[in-house]
Amino acid sequence: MDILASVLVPVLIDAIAVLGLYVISASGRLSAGHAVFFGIGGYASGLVSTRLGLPPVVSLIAGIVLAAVVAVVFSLISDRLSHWFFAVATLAFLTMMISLVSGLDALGGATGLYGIPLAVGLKATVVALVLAIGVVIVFDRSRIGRAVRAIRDSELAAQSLAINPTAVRAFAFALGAGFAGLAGGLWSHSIGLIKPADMSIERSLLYLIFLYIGGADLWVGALFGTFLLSLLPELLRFSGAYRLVMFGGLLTVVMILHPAGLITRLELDRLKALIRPAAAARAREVG
Amino acid sequence: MDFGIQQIVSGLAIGGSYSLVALGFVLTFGVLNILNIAHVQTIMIAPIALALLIAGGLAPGLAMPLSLVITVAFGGVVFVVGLRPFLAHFRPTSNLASFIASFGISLFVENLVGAQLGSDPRSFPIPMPEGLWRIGGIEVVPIDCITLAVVVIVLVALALVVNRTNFGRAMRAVAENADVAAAQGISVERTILLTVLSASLLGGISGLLFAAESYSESPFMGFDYGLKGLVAMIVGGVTSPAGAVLAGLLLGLAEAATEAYLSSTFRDVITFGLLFAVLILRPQGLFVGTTKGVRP
Repeated sequence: MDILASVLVPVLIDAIAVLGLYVISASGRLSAGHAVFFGIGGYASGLVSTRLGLPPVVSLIAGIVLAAVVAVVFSLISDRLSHWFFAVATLAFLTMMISLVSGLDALGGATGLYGIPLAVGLKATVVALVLAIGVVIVFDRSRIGRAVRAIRDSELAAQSLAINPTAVRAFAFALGAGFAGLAGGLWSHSIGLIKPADMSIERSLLYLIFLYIGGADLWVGALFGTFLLSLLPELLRFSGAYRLVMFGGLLTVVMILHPAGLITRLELDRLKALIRPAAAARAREVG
Repeated sequence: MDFGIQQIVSGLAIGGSYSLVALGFVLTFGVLNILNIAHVQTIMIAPIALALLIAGGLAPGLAMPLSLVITVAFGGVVFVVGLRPFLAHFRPTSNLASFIASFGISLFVENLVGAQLGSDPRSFPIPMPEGLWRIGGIEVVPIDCITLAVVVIVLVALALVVNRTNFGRAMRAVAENADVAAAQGISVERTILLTVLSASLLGGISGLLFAAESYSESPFMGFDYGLKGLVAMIVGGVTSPAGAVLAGLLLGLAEAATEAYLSSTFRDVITFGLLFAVLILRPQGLFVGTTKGVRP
């Protein structure tokens, strides 16, 4: 793999996972343990391709499905928890899975699962990301996507429109987890191994940071946050130890000054006005 | 290793320390209506400050209270800088923002300390009594005994403060309804700040106990122990101080039993297992009456 690919592939993979977090956040929930589904996808994909010898496409799908199934079960059990305590439950689930996976010899223990076929390069990751963006766009415009946002804004009002909050939340959580599962599968197939340290709390919190600094209202924000915060430290040659200090501080400042994140609909409209002033003016007149 | 009286005492000691963490969360959540994740870092600040003070040549008897003072000051600064801005324009949407910001503060603090002091674990700076103590015919590990004694003293003191002092009454009034409390002449701002400082003290004490129990401390210890405290808070029913204490003790005992019967690898598994079981079987919390068991 050349330099460009080795820098870009992890970032594109992270972008897919953060898109998943965006879908979950659209339902008003916050998953602080998103990396658990990254890990589930990575391990499932690795196991299916090494133990069963199935092609990468099948193993990736297996990773997505397993992550989604676990997410549905988790979502149904934790449905009564409001967003803060739901976030805590996801964190607790993540720490449990880390110790469980580290202790299981069948999964390679703390050293992880080795010898996963190197089937994913830059091209496959770009294709996966484009597919993921496509799914998110369809989701945003679909009936269920609107139902998810309705639940977030007012559960009671949504219920009066015959929307089942439990089912809708479980759907959003499973879809988001599926994205993370895909990201994990791509990850394990791109570096050839998956280990408990790949499903860390740090990774989960990084995803949160990417999404909420970028802006959780639009999928563009999720991508923007991921690319900005992944590539900026590389370009500035920021020392590794202070990267999280900077991110933590930045997250706090953004949440206080501009809680919707850097990219919101307003910023997007302004950007459109810059590029095509006439069209924007017309759109304003129409309202 | 079998599950004898020693393990029970040890489990209660660790569990009692979880209770203190959970209580800190319950108290601040009560008055602030914000789940302040940055509170977990008070667990780390106290033992790290203690190590620095002792390395600076202070006697342990002086360094220990001073490290708690530093922790309380830290809690106050975090509140004023990071959380107070969210109280000024309190809207439902900024609720989530405050929660995310508290994650940011927590990451900022632990990584700053880690980058400055090195992230490797170090040993607790005060030597602990060795061997076993015999109390009433039972042999116990000294630090377990000390921890349990400290927890009991702190809990009694806290119960007295909350139930018998004006500050305690003000705290409960603000937790019940801040507007009505303000109309009664209670300074809501001051009560909130004092509550946050008290919670930081609880976090600091529990941090010293955790570090002494495991005889090790690190800039990244706050999150691990803090998460257990949060689980105890949820298991206990989120708003109930007594529930938080009982849930913390239960968690400590469950962990000790898992270590004795299975292995220490599954210790974290039982934490989540307990949370899961409670969520399925008794979603309002273990120790909350069913009538007022409405989750916030």
